[in-house]
Amino acid sequence: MRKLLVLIVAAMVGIAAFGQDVDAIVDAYSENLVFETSRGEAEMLVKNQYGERTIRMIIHTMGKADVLVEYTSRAEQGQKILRSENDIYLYYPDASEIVRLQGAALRQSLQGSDVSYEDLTGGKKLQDTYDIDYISMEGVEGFDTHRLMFVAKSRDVPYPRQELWIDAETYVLRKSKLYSLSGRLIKEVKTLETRLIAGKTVATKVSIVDVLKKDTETVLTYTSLEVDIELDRNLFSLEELTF
Amino acid sequence: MTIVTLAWRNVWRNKKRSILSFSSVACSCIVITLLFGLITAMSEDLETNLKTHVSGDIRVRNKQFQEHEHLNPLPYFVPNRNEIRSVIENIDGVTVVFPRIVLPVVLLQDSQEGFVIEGVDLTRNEKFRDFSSLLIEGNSLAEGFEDSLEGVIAEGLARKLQVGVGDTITALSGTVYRSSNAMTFTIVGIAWFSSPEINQTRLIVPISHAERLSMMTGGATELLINVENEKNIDQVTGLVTSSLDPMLFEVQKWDEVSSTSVMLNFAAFTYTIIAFVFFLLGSVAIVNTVVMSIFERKLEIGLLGSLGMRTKKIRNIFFLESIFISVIGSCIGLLLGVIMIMVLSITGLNLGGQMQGMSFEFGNVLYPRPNLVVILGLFLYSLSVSALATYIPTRKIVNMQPVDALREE
Repeated sequence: MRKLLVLIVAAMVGIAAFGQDVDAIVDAYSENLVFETSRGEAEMLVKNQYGERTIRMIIHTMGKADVLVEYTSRAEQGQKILRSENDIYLYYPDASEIVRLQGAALRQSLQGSDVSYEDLTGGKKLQDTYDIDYISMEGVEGFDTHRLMFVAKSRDVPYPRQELWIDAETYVLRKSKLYSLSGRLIKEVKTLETRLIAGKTVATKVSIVDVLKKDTETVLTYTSLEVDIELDRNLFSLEELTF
Repeated sequence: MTIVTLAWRNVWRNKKRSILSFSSVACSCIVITLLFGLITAMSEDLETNLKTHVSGDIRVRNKQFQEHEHLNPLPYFVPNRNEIRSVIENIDGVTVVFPRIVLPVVLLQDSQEGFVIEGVDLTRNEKFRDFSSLLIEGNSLAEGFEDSLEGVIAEGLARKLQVGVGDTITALSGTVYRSSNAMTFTIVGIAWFSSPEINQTRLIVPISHAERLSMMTGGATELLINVENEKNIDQVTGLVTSSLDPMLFEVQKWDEVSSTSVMLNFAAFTYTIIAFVFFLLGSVAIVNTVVMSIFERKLEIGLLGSLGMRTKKIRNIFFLESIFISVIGSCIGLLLGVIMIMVLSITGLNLGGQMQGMSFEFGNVLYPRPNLVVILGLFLYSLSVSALATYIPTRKIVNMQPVDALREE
């Protein structure tokens, strides 16, 4: 009986210790994703049944919430996406109105890629949105990773269940699988290249596959990335979007 | 006295009964004439609308686009539209090739109303369909001013969106890359299209704008072709097909592009069956008249038989009687039917209320016109059904013995 009690107490202590670990892992992972400011030039290679095409863009970020994407490739030139705290706005150079995306429109594909506008939403602390469980330590393409399972606390998230493999050493995402509420796999994300920038390991080439579509893949590559640079706060305003 | 004269006289022996028989045949003829007049008007209107706004005489599309049309498969467009247009325009019998880009879009407003942008080649718009005659307000799209984002809106769509000349509307569209793009157009004119489906959905813009909006560089969703002589349409279709890559393009004649066309052909077939039933019902009165006559005139049949007239001849008298009734009834019915159609051809038949919520390529207001071939066909059809219906009761006379007929009487 005493032996059993000791085992239970030991197990409880173990769970608490693991819980702390999970928080620390997720915090380190989240921290790795965010810079005070950043400006990157990126290419998005979209492969689908209609062929391949490359979309070029400049991405500005400020903190967790503000993102401005400006397309520079010829076909989309001048189009912009602004993500602020809670909203996503689209700017088209030939339209006099700005589009505020909401509801089902957020599920639309971003320039025909495997990324949806919904994927750009977020910004809240992961622990506030998801219950997170530590699954195991696993090797992914030669890297030791923590395998974590995220289950959403509410329904207002794009992916109610997510499985993440976070590098045990650099806390960069190595792989993730995104699921629907029913547990159906929706997307797979893989980090193909990383770079050390300002002391943080950043994924600079990522593959995204929407498994619900046939023969598609999107590869997002940062060709350059500057961080913690001086950016005007107004860059992320609606006024600036149409300027 | 011939049996024809005898039969004619017999028709008028019981005037009331004969008039009733005429009336039943006439009523059937009126209904059927009107039904056929209506379906002919629908078919003619459909043909005009399809040729003018939907397909031309012949339509060329990307085969894949045709196959996946319901998915708005913009990536499967017709590439190098001007090059292909030149090839087709050199074919004998082709008068004009009209490339265009048709894009389903949504209005960038709270209503998010869906409509269709039709990007047209302004140099060929007038030649293809006399576009300026459709204008009811404002101006048409002018060549050389393609840089300004202007459009002509269909009257029904303008009403739905509550916009007029000088207003702007912003359309959000898909692109050939499966991405999105938006454009704001200033309305410079309002046009009226007889097809409700088109009148409630179209915004006509220069093809260069639709090209930019959909990112369909140098392409078109379809090329519409008009032929010089309708009779040569099969031959020209064959020439167009052979001039293009059969793996890439789908060439269709106007009557192959719309399900409404198939539906109307089916309706015409159904109406033929309905006409048969109507004429059969109309003939019931004639059959009744003949059967009553046979019963009433048994003494006469017996006398004629005993005087040596052959039963076949006696039967023919009764048969001719029914034919006379049928001819008179049909003539009266067809005449009245034609008069009603003539009136409707001037006043028009408004189906607006009945067709609400349905989308067909024919107009809400139909103008039926009398068709001589159809009328002649109906006359012969009515006569045949009546003859068929009265043949059976008159056969009874053949089996009748004169002695039995006299005794029974």
